[in-house]
Amino acid sequence: MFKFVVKRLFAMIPIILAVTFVVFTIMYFTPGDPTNVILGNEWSETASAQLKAELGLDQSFIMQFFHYVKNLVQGNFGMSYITRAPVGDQLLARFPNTLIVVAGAMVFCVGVGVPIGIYSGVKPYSLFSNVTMVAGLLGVSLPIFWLGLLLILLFSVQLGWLPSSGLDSFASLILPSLALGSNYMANVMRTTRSSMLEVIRQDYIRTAKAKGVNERNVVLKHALQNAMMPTITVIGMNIGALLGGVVLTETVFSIPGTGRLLVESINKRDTPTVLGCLVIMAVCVAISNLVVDIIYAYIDPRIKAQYGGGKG
Amino acid sequence: MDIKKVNEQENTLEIKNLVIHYISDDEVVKAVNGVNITIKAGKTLGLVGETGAGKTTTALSILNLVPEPQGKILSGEVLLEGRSVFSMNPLELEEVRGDKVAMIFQDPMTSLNPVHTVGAQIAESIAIHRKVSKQEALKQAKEMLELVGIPGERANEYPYQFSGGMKQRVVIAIALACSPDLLIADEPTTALDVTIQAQVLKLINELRQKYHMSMLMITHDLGIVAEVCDEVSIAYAGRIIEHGNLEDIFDHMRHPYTKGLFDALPDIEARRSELKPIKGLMPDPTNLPTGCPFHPRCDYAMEICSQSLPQTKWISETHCVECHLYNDTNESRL
Repeated sequence: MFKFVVKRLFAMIPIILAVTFVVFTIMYFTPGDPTNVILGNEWSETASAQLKAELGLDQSFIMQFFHYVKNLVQGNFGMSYITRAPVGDQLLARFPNTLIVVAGAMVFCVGVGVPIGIYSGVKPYSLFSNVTMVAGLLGVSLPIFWLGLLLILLFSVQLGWLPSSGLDSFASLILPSLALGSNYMANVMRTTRSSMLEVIRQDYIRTAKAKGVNERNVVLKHALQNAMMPTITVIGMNIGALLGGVVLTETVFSIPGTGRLLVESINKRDTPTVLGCLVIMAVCVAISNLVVDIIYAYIDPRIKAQYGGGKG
Repeated sequence: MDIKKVNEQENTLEIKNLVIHYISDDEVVKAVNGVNITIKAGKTLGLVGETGAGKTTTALSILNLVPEPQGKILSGEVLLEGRSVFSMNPLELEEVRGDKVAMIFQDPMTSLNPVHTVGAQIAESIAIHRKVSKQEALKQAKEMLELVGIPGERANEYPYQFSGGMKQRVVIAIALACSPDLLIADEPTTALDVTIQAQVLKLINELRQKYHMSMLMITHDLGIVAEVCDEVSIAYAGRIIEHGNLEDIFDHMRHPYTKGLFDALPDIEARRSELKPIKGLMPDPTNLPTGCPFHPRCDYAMEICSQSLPQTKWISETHCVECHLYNDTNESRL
């Protein structure tokens, strides 16, 4: 198992390099000259050329990429074109906010979606199950920014219960988490329900009942562990989607996070900052995939054996 | 009156006029249509019939585990030592399941939970019914494993690490863990290859005798019946069409269907002779024929057979048959 984790950690390196390369290439070939934005009204041929030399932009594509990666390996994300401050510092200041919002959305997603999914999977013909499935359909269909605005309208403007922006207290985390998580909560709920429905019909559930196991333990001890595999997969996949969705959420709720930083720096063609944001998001996704794989092993002994045997 | 009551209590299991249908939006599957079964303490009854004769549904009803919500018990009674299973509350049912009545399921490949160790799966029922600690239950589970011929150390392994025959032994160990009064074996050897079949049967038989259990052996293999059972019920389209002890059924069969089953067996002395299958197919349980359900396939069918269901006719004290051929005689007409 330990060997597996180490192996997977090393496998992350080429993945992150590939992401870096793709983003770098796209930014490099995007039309427009960064010096235009940086110099603004002071732009001239000579000033531009001088600045390009200073930033290393006059070198070839390969050399530029090589330099970037060399710095990245040393933990240096480069300097922002706009603020002339290290990108690393900005990320360090902003990324925790993003993490908090994503974590809040995840807690909402899993904490609400999984129990509802279990219950409506165990009692598929109940009114509760039908109501939650309609609610789930709504949850999947509502766009984040629209839902976010509605939530602000109701809870901040009309009722005045919760703050509409910023991220300085637990209360201010509630609305962004709801807005960001509702889509994925619905996803998690529907997946849990359908895999629960499937598992509850299996022969080994009947065996458990025939042993005299009570209803509660049949669900919690026998069905749930088997039914969690697809749910874990969906949760894992959603982490990437949540990091994408956080761009919108942070904008709607004016939260200073990496999502907003990313949008701002794309607009200003601030390549180092864009790269920094995306690399750190890629690392997040890669790590969460690894965590999902490790959780698989704890849920299903067959997968654990595969990891241990070095075949996986 | 008193004598009758004593007699009833000697019966480990009594199923009276059981009717179970699976009802869905567009069809009604008439799985069980008036089954009567009695098993006396310590005896083994073989329930024989083709696939779809309602054997498994009957067995599941004893544990009140007929799949809901489609499976509907429309009428009838299941009495375990005189207590009605259908009127038990969930708590009473949980006490009966696994302790008084245990079941060996048909397919060992899917009957074990893939994410729990086999030891834990055996220990679970011990912990529930014997009210012992987890360690003690696990210790007893290991003893059960040894009893079915698997080394105790393997209790920590998972079902995927076991072969089919060993999984079925684990399923047997689970069923026997609390030495139940009644063991239901639902085609316990169907999913196993022939060499393992013999071992598993021998094992079940030995353990049954050791613990003085009653047993309901569901099978379509008359060879197994001859080896293991005291009495036989022949099921067809959700009814028991003939019942008797081994001698009654094997040597003095009365029902044309029973005769057909025996004729369909290969004859070891005349290997060249062709097999004689029963003509036609098992009737569609959503659309059973009127009258006797066997009449479209029966060589002896008369006019009355398509019109009315035959009544149960007792030929002797141990032997009964449901067939219009015997409305006015007890002598064999086959």
